[in-house]
Amino acid sequence: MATPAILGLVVFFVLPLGAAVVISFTDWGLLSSPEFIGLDNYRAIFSDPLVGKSLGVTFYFALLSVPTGIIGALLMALLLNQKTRFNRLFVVLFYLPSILPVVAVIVVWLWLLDPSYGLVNQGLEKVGLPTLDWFSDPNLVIPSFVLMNLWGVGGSALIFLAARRGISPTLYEAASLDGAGPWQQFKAVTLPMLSPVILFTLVIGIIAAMQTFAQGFLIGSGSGQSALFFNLYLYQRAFQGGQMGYASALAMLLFFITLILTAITFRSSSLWVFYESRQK
Amino acid sequence: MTTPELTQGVHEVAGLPPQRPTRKARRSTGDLVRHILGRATIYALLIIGSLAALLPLFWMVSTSFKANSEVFKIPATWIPEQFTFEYYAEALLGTSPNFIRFFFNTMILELLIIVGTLLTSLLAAYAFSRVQWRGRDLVFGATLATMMVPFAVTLVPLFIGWSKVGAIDTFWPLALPAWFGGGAFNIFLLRQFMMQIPKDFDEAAQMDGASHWYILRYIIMPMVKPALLVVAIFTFIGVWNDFLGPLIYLTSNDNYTIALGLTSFKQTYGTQWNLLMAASVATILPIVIVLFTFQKPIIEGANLNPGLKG
Repeated sequence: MATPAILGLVVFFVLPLGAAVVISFTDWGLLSSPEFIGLDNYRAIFSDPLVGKSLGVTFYFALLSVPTGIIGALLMALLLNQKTRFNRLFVVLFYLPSILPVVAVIVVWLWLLDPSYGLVNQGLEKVGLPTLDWFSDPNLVIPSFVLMNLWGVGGSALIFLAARRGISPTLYEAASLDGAGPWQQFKAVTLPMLSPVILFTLVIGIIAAMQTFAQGFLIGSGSGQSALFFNLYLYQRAFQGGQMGYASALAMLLFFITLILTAITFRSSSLWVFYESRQK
Repeated sequence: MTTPELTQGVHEVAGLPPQRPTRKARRSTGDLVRHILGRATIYALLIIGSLAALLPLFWMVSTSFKANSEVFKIPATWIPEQFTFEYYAEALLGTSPNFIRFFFNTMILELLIIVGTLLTSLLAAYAFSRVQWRGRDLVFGATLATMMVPFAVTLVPLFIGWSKVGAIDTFWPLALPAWFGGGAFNIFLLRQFMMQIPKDFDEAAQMDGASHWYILRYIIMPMVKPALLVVAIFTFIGVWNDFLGPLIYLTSNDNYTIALGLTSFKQTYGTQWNLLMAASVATILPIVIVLFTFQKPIIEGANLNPGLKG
């Protein structure tokens, strides 16, 4: 019964994974036949300035978007956790942007952040603030993506909300009896109890941010290399340059970096993640 | 995890009234004012948040109805002075880019992928949760591991493989994998659901000589229907929104899906924002409809995060 899934795992994952390693040792433009060149691709990576550049762009985006995304989602979840009328409606509205197709999201944000006619700049002007060039400004393109990313954190917010609702009220009652105010309750109960979910969201968030592609692909061209995400560079090398070997080596590098980042995150978790079951 | 129910139970057994936070106790005027201010802040924040979520969409819809002369007007008008459907007609009924074509392509893919995903992820989840076989945990672990590996890693070999069998610019590379497991996350989600069903059901049926197929079809499947709905909905959204897959594998405009087709609109129309917004509204509308129709399963399904709870 698991046959289709096992076949799928082998054909669409294990074999390609193995093949990717092999291909990364070759010089292969799709039309020619592959030529084994050993570690040459990896050597070339280290002297390729665009690898450093694109990694820098990707790290910068991850560094800004992951923490802001988690904090934004957490605040959203705590707000949605309040007992209010129309709670379900608010949940749905906060969630909506996160499931919209990325291309449509990018198109509407291009229009919102249009330097001359965009709604955001018109608003800034109205309240007397300086207007910005957003996606057209090489220094602002990544922060603009971070802003756009914040619009879509409703998905993580729902995960936090479910976790928050899973915290036993008795913990809050106990804290309140001990005289803890809302802020202390947040620090002593909410945050530790949510920390395993925060860890999960952090890991998923880092992996996703390292793979950012569509934003750079659709908007990046206007701002030179300042939106050259790593995966965009890999895509260009593979599908525009036809260098399958080199692209595979790049993919291996990304895989390696993602593994290290995930490992570091998990390692750090013993310092800040609280597991209820371990305490008992 | 069951602490609230437990306390409740204890109170009932002890003949105590169910525990409730003491609301009425010592409420001075100061407390009352603070309470009202607190509630007002919460509602204000909720409304600000909803506006932040909706304003971009409102602006999108508003622009889509504006005539060319009004699109670039400063200050911008929130409600179009004159509503025109012209740009919807031009964007959606045109032949290049051909929105209707994109729509049908996407719907064909939706059908192929949703059916394949439901069928094979159900089978896999059953095999991972209710059948004992050698290497099961290893295979399940490997299945979960696929979620942690960047897509770029397998991208190049898969692309080469599909091009060797002549399947570039067909739906095969996008649809066929769904018939082989239907994605790690879906398998995981269904398995979690199945784990909660007591084994007694299967054991009783097995005593009566029922096969695994029978148990799956007539005992397990009816019980995991809510989870199957969640899988179907999220698969629908995933296929609708998928950008990278179609970008890599579909090369001729006639085969484009909606998400990919929107990029053709962007290339063709440049900064004709009313046309672009009309196409964007049509692109997101099905997702909005799905979300509002299936609020409950979607909101509950979005909560099911892999692993770390409990």
